[in-house]
Amino acid sequence: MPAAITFDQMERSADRTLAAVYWAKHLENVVACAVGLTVLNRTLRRFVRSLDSGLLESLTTEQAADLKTKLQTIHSNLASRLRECQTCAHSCNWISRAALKGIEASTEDIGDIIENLSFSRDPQFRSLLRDSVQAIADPAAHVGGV
Amino acid sequence: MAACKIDADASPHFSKMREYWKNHGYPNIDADLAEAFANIRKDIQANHARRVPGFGDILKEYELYKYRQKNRLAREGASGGWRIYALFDRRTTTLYPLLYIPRRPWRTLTTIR
Repeated sequence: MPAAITFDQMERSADRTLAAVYWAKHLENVVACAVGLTVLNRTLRRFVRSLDSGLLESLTTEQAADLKTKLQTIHSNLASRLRECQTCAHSCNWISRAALKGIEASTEDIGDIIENLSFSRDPQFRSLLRDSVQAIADPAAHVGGV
Repeated sequence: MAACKIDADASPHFSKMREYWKNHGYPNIDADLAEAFANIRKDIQANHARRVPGFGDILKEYELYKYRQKNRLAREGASGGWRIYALFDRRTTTLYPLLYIPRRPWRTLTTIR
């Protein structure tokens, strides 16, 4: 008959088991997070690459407005996720960190595209651009280049 | 890597904008610009360059580029830093900066003209 364990031994064993449970749960979350962020990073990179200037140039006014709305939704969700990740312990592993850097860059790219779509319909920006093109195209107006 | 020339004095608006930001909370603007131009002179695709679509009716033979640059004063990276809009003339490989704005306050632009 095996010797009965004492309460202290049982308590220590329970603590060790709980530690193992937490460690396994942390590992599962870290792995899930790293995989999720890597997939998101790759999806975003492909998406941003697909939004080339040729495609954006060909959009109608309605299509540009629809795209801008979708991009704004994507951007605000990404920005909120990035803010959460800044305080999340899961970001400590190198796979997640690398994926997060890529996601940050893609978020900035999407922000730039949103801004460009807004400016392309903005009468003040268009007027400023027109004036600048005229000022630069007039050979008597400037001498320069370094 | 495609090098280019940069003419920062051709656009009167750019010069006004530089002075505006210097006097409105961004005294480090010249150093930030110098760094951006040094990179872009070596490679026109530097500083997260992106061609801006949608202005074909205005640009004629020029192309419009948008760049990102760190705002050293705010210790921000290119994310949240400056945005530079510039016209590029392929015939002379010359870039003409037009606008230099912090990432957020687009509305401020209307007070500079």
